[in-house]
Amino acid sequence: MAGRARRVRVAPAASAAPGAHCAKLFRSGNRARVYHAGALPAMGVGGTLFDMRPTVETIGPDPAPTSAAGSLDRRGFLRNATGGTVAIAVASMLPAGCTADYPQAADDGIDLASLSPKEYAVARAAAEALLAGVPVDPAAIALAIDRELAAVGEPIRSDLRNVLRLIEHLTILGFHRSTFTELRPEQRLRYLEGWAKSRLSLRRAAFQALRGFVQYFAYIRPQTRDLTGFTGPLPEAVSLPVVRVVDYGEVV
Amino acid sequence: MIIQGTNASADVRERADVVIVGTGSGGGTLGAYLAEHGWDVVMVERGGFFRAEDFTQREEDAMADFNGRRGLDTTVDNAVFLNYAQAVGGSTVHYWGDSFRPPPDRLERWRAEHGLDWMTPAELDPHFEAIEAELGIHVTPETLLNENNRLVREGCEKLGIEGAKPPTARVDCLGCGWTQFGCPYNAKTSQLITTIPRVSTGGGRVYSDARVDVLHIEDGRATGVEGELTARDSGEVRARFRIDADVVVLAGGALGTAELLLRNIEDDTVGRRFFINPHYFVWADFGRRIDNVSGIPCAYVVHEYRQVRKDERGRYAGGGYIMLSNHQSPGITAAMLSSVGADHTDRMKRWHQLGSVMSVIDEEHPGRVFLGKDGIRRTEYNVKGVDQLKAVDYLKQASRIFLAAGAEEVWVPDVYGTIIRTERDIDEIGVRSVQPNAQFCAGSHLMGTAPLGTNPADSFAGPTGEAHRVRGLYVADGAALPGSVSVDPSLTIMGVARWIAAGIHERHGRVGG
Repeated sequence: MAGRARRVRVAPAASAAPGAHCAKLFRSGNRARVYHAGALPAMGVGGTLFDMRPTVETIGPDPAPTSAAGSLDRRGFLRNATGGTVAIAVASMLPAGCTADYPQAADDGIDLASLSPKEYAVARAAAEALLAGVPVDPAAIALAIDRELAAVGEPIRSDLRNVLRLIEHLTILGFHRSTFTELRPEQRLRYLEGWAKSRLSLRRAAFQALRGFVQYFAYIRPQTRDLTGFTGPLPEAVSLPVVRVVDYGEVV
Repeated sequence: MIIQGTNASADVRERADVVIVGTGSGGGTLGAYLAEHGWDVVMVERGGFFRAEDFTQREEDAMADFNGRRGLDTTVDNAVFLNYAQAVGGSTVHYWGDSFRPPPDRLERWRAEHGLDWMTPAELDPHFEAIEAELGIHVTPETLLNENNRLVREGCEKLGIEGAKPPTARVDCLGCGWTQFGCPYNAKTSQLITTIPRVSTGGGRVYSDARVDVLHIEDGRATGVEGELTARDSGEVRARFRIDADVVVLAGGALGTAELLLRNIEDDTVGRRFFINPHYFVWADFGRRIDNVSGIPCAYVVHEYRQVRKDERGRYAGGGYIMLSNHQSPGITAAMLSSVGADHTDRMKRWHQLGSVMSVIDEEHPGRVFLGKDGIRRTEYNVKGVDQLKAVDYLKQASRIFLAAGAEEVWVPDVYGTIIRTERDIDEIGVRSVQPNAQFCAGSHLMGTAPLGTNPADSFAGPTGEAHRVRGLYVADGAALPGSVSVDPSLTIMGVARWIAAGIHERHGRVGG
């Protein structure tokens, strides 16, 4: 009833353990909603794949797919509700990946805080492809993503992890038989461009999420400043006094 | 007194005349007003307490320290990036300081559509005048225009497009360029250095790192709030707090206020009108290094298109937005450009050559704020219908301005790699560029989720700011605005909050606590 005060505290959101989110989705039979998920973020991933609404009011023509993946998309691989549901749900339900299959984190000497070895490997491979000519170590980018997801928590953590799994296993959309991490960097790039120009918001969103994370964590690094011509923030260069002193009283 | 929850070691319970949830434009303004009128004030802020010396102006520090969800929050379809601060001082810690009074036509609309008869320039102007004096708001001086600002102005002047230097909230600004990452010089007159000290040195208590989760309501009257004091770095709960008060004011921003209400009150009016003023970004390569950093990001505003224009048949024919000159740090710029690989790298190599503007779209279609089944606050927002047309019109007009200013290329940063080199190319810009996730879109003017109005079926609070259904509970922040202001809403929020504060003081008559 509108306006009635419950005066009952709603329990704060509990954070889910890695993987619990996906398992719950299968148990709860939300498959149709899985397909209808909308998208992922340009930079962050603040929603969830599985809460997303399918439609936006479109008042102009959709872009014509320009890639092989786009053509496949147009023929309905993901536009088919059942197929899309299965594809995404399967990707979400795939095992997190063990060190034997995905040794990159171990090889890099990294103890992961939020990503699985597989997800780390996908992030690392994406960084390798996306950051052509950028003087950063892809492993450092994958590590930064791992640490950021550990700090920011849900729902962003689960959503980006799902994106990484989708990217790894839906390579059929780019007519590849190998997984994303098995592709050559130039193949990965073309595959990701297919996601970028997809008619499906879900795929564009997944692309934007992954791309945004990778590129942001690359260009915040001082070693990219020679590339961009950024001279750094003023406090780094010179210590200047405040123009006025502020008295807050007692601070404890 | 500032009490940092991150240092708490024991539970806290205290009583005040008024407890204010949130310390930004609304909360800070209202708190200072009441404190200086004899009220015993307690303010609680979810974010941390940062002072000038804490601001490194490194983008990653700012994002992690005082941006909501570490700067990564988006709508559920992830098509819109939501930019808001969580810190003592609220979003004024990272805002640009643009300080516009609400356009008279907007107040007229709110009077007509929401019964807010008091929203007249005559009623509000004394409050705006007081705030402008307190914050030293003045027209941006020429010295704070960097080259990007000047190029935007030059393009407008060549085309006969109306624009102006905005009023700005800063005094003795050094023009370091990165005000959005916190001012390390105490020059930007945010709530952090203006109203908050007036509360904290005037007998009031300001709790940081204090997350309210319970709104206490007894017999239809708000009696206080309760929540957790948390460690700033880990979020670990240090202790609990409870503040009992005669008056409870919600000023946690359109997201924070809506979230608290959704957790505590069943009211269908909460969260369903979520305005953000969608921001799309256009970049222009001038083929030479330009000063796109110094000064302040927005020292020139394009007003020409604020009003919607319609054709003789009443159809949309343009407008419905303003443009702000803009610059962004490399990491954020990189995330805003939708290209990949060598193309993206090549664009980033030209970062020092880039001019930029962003839109403030005066939208017709709001989104909503809600709690997911897992209890996590989420948002939905689609740029749709006529709002898409506004976005497209903005992209075209921004391109024209930059071409007139001498840009070699104008980038619509969509996934299609749209580049404008001549006037003829502008026709290529279409709605495909503003489909969800086709390009970076952001919202930083968050409003309307617990709006004022006379109709309880359509508004959470009455014209005085007091909730229709809960006595002693007020809303005094961006959530309270009934719709988009069509310009940066900060000063409007402050003015409305100050008006509400004066009303609270007058009605409750609490002089001397």
